[in-house]
This record gives sequence, C-alpha cells and structure tokens, in this order.
Amino acid sequence: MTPAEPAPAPAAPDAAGLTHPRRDLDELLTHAVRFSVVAALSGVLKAEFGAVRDSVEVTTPMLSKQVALLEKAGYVEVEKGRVGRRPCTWISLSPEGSAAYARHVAALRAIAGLDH
Amino acid sequence: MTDMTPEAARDALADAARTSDRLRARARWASTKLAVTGIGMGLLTLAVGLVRSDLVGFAVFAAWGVLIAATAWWERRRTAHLPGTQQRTSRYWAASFALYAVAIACGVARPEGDAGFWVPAAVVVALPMVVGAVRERRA
Repeated sequence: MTPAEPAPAPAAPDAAGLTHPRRDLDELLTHAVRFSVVAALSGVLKAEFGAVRDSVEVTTPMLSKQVALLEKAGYVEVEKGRVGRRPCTWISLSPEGSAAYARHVAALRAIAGLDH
Repeated sequence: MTDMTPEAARDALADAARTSDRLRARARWASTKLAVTGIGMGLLTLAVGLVRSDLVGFAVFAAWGVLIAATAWWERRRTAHLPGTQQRTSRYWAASFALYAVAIACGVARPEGDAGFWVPAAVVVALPMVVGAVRERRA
C-alpha cells in the first residue's frame, strides 16, 4: 500500500530522547473503523456514503458517527449531492486527512518493521 | 500514546489495503464505459461504410445516440470516482473520434461496400477506447 504522499521523515527525538514510531501514530486514526474509512478514501477522488460503508463493512450508524468525527477533525469533506435523482452524501479525503493518513501509515510501517 | 505490536501494525496495514482495493474496484467504472462506447464506435464506423439503406443508417445513428445517453445515465449513478478519470479518458475519446473522422474522409473515395477497407477501419477506430478500457482496469 503506498500513501499518496512521500512518507514523512520520522520525528526527531524530543527532549527526553524518545523516538519510538508509535509516537507518530495519529490518535484519531488508531480507531480501526476511522483508519479503514480514511484508507478507503485515500485511493479515490470521492465516494458515496453507501459505497464507503460497504467497503469498510460497518453499519450506517457506525459510519455516520465516525465520519462526523473525521469531518470535525478536518480529515474528510462531506458534500450532499445526487446519484441520478436519489439524494446522497459524498465523502472525500481532505489534504489534512491525506497527510495524517500518510504519517499514520509510515508509523505503522515502522512499527511493523517493514521499512528496514 | 497508543501501544501497538508489530503484528497489529501489519494487520492494520493489510486491512487498510484490502479496504482501499475494494473501493477502488468500485471506482473503476470508466473501463466499462470505454469498452462499450469503443465497440459502439467501431460498429458505427462499420455501418457508415457498409450500410446502403437510409432507413437502416438512420436507425444506426439513433442507436448510437441511445448508447451515448445510456452510458451517460449509467455514469451518473456510479458511487465512487477515481481522481483524474475525465482527464485520462478524454484522450481516448479524442483519439477514436479523430480516427473516425479520418476513416470517413478516406472512405468516401472507396468503392461502395468495400469491406476490405471498412472492417479494418472499424477496428482502428475502436482501438483507442479499447486500449483505454484495459488501462483503466488497472488504474
């Protein structure tokens, strides 16, 4: 899986000299469903709510709740639109969300030992 | 801060890749549209060159119009979109239409019903869109 942006450089040691990659994990994206939602959106321009729900394999209320949290954090953009004549909700990843996803993936790869 | 084992990190990455692949597969509808309209353009070219009847010719152009309208209607109902789809697919459309114009321009000087010209011409006209359909399947 390749993030859309180049993997960011690992965080420099803080004052205490702590450099473990878990420090680069995004708190919001450590939630499995939110991470899956962002992962799904990272590969597309935009997707309809039902398509995201079916890809992530969660219920509608669960997805609504997680998308609301991601939207509040500025990671996703939600737009009302139509599929044919049927009203629908389109979801897309924001630039901030894309960057957060790339950082989180880089941290996961470092933890998983995939970058050695 | 979150504790995560290497195994959990690998599982999370694998799950993310699967989820991303599922939604991207749903977004690859341009491949189907290019294949259908490419074959349609090929058949249209064949009909222009080989059909002598005005009535049948009118029906062929009407069917082409219905095909374009149907594919546009179908496209509006897609629920996921890849970035850059329109930019990528427009060049295949442009190439097929350009080849169609060349085929027609060359074909007017040919003998009537010259299948030796029109069959290959139809294949050439359809080819850019068919190639585009294959490439979009891998987008």
